[in-house]
Amino acid sequence: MKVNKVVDNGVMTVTVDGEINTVTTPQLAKEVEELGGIRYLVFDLNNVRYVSSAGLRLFLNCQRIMESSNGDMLIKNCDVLVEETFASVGYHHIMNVKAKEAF
Amino acid sequence: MIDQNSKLIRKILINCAITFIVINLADSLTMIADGIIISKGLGAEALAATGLADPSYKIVSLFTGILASGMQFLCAQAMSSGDRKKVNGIFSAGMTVAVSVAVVLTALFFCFTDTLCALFGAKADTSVYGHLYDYLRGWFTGIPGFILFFVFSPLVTLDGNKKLLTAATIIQGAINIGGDFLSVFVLEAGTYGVGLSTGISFNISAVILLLNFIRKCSVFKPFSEKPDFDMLPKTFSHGLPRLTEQFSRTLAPIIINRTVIAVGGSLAMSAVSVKSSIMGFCFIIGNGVAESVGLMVQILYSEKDEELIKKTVKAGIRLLIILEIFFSAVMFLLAGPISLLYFSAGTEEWSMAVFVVRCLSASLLLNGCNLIIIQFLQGSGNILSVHIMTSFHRMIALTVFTILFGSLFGTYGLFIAIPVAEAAVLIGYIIVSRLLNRYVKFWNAMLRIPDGFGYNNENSCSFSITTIEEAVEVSEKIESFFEEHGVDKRTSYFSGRCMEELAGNVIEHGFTKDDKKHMCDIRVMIDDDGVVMRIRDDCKYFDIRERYESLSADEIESGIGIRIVYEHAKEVKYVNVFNTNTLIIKM
Repeated sequence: MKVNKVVDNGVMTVTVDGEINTVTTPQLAKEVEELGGIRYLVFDLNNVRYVSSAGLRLFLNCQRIMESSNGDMLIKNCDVLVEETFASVGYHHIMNVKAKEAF
Repeated sequence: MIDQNSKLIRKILINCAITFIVINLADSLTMIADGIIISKGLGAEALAATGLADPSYKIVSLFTGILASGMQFLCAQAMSSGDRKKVNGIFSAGMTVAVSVAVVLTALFFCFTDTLCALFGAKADTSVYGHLYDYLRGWFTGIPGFILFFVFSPLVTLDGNKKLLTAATIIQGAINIGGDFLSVFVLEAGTYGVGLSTGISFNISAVILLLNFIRKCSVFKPFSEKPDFDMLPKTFSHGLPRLTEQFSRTLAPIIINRTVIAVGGSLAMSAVSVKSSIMGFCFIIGNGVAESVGLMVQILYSEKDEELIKKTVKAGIRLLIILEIFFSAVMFLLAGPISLLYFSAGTEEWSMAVFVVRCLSASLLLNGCNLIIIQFLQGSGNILSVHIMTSFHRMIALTVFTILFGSLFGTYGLFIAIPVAEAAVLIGYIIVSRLLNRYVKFWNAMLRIPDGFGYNNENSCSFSITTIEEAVEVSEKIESFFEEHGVDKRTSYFSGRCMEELAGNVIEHGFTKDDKKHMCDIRVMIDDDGVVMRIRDDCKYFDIRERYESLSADEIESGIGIRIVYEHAKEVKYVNVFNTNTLIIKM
């Protein structure tokens, strides 16, 4: 999994390439460890084939951190099956998850 | 990824076999101790009376054997498909029948004890009659316990609670022997006390086994489901081979003993009696391994796991060879000292007894192989073959060879017939199986595996994993496997995802709960109904269904993997068999 992180004027954009599974999630977690001063966190999952429960848990943690700091979070460019994974555990109600077509 | 299927099978098989061997050993030792206490404390007539009571055990155990064996088969089948409702429907029906028959038999036997004494051959107004009457009145109090103990035993084994079963058997033996000792030497309660200790020991051990079913992880929940009486005919038809076995066991000695007396006289007969008295002890290994193979095949046959079925039978035969060669060698070398327990050294009957014990030890491995075949056929539901094989093994072969070798070679020929008959049954089975299935592989012919049985490499694949990395890797392979075999993209995708969650859970939580080494074996199959995935591990009991039901809608951060699985699977079934967690998921 490759992760590209860009921080610009309080906006952190994390572009992920690969699979967010049990093994790779800790690597992604390290990239978003420090969210101080971030108002808007964007995950670009255009090249992500799937997200496992470990990945979902990480997104939930990030969402909570952002909410506590009055920030916002967006997960964009999701594959239709990845979006369905978010929906299957009800996360589409608490997170801003956008499919590829919808963005 | 190392293939650990064989390891897991070997581990279950050895554990199961040890349990059965210990149980059979405890049984044999109890019988020996029982006989010694009665003969030393109450005399020869009391011993003869307890011998005459044997048919009463046979009558009760015949019914019990048929019911227990049929229930075991059907419950194992239902368990392998994860159908707990069906398991408990069969269990409740079996319990209802067992308890009803226990009540009726106990009442009947108590009302007609006099008739039974006469039927069993005791002459009225003799001391033997009095002993027999007293003994029967004592042991009849234990008929309910006796029936329930033998009906529960195979189910407790399926439940993986070998320790409890072993403990119940040992406690039964200890109470029986201790009770006999007390009755005979302290309380002077005579044969009534001896019978009563047997009865009490079975009632207590049945209660001990009952404790298994109140365990949280037990599949069997008494009367949690409506009794499924519709399954009873099937239960009895699968248990019927016990009737053939009992019939053959009763008829064979009648014919053989007549031949032995005609050819070798009473000396030869006394040598044969030595064989009869040590036979139970000698067969503990063969019986133990064969029963384990049969039990495992019952599960694997329903799962249509051809490879694992073959591995189980081969592992059983290997285990049998290792144990039986050692045991036979010891028996062969100790034939002289063993015969000394019965006859004085140097006498003709001693020489005959030594020869009989050696012939018996030469037959043990062959006997074990035949028992494995019978248990396998029973486990695979091949009932007609079980009847045929049992008749040949228990009666026809030994009778024919005893008559033939006795008339050809005289007295010693009678004894050579023992291993020859075993060899003939085994060779006969191999030849007939080969002739009936000429164009299939050897093991498929031997195990009568029909064409198109189960899944092959085309529509199934198996993996063994031990790390999270392997769990992830296998999940991807499973997704690719399904896609390559025409399963739609979405189903393939979520099959892979569900597998990663489940296998990851086993590694992350199951493997780390204790310091033991664990195994996780995965099998995926494609059939007409769609995609089926099975995960089996030997970690601590974990019922995914219970975990899922305990999750509340508000706890969105816990059980994420399990939620994904339940959201995308058509069916999730969990069962704990032989202390292994087995999860079956249909996508």
